[in-house]
Amino acid sequence: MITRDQVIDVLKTCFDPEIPVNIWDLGLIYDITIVDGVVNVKMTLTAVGCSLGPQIIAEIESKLLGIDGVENAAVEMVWNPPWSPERLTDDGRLSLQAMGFSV
Amino acid sequence: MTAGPEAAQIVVADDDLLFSSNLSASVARLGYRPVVVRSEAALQASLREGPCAVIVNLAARGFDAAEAIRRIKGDETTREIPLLGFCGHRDVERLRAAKTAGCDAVTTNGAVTADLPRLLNTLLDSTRPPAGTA
Repeated sequence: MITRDQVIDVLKTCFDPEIPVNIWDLGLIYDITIVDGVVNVKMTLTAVGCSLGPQIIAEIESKLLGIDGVENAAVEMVWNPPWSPERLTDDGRLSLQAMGFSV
Repeated sequence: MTAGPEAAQIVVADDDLLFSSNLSASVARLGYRPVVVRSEAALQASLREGPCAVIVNLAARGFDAAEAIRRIKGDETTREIPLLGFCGHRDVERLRAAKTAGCDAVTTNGAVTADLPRLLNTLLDSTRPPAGTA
């Protein structure tokens, strides 16, 4: 059985190339659903219409398919609500602060 | 420090919500009034307010940063406004294009995040007209 924690562990290995904090700790993930062997993820980016979006989606889907038991994985980009610093996890906030971000 | 209504304005031209919110907060802490714009039209409109500097995300998706810089530096009414461009340190092409377009200073995401006060001071000092010429 695929668990939410397994999915989150994978998401923590994925990055927006412009930002050296993983997409989970950045708060880019809005929703995760797991039904049988199918994982669906809704996420956003810090820049609407980012040209790196398709590359990031492909990387996530590929990594999710590497989880034992996952038969299909799909990532959907959503822009509402827009990302804001309040979505950062504590780890993400600390990482960004260590880099000089005032978040 | 919080900017008052008469504080000098600095435009942050950036459509990335992480960088723009961070830079806006940093600019306000330095005592300037930040104005965030996310399109070239908004950038051009903001220039009419006479900002003392513009910080441009060279990797912005909502407008062509190098072209915007070229336009600002090609217009005699805006060419004196100091411009600071930034993007990822591996994005050598964008950094080069910005310099070629006339950007007064270019730097990296990491530097603009960690060292904005010094970068702004250096930019404003280096672009300030010599005393008696203004």
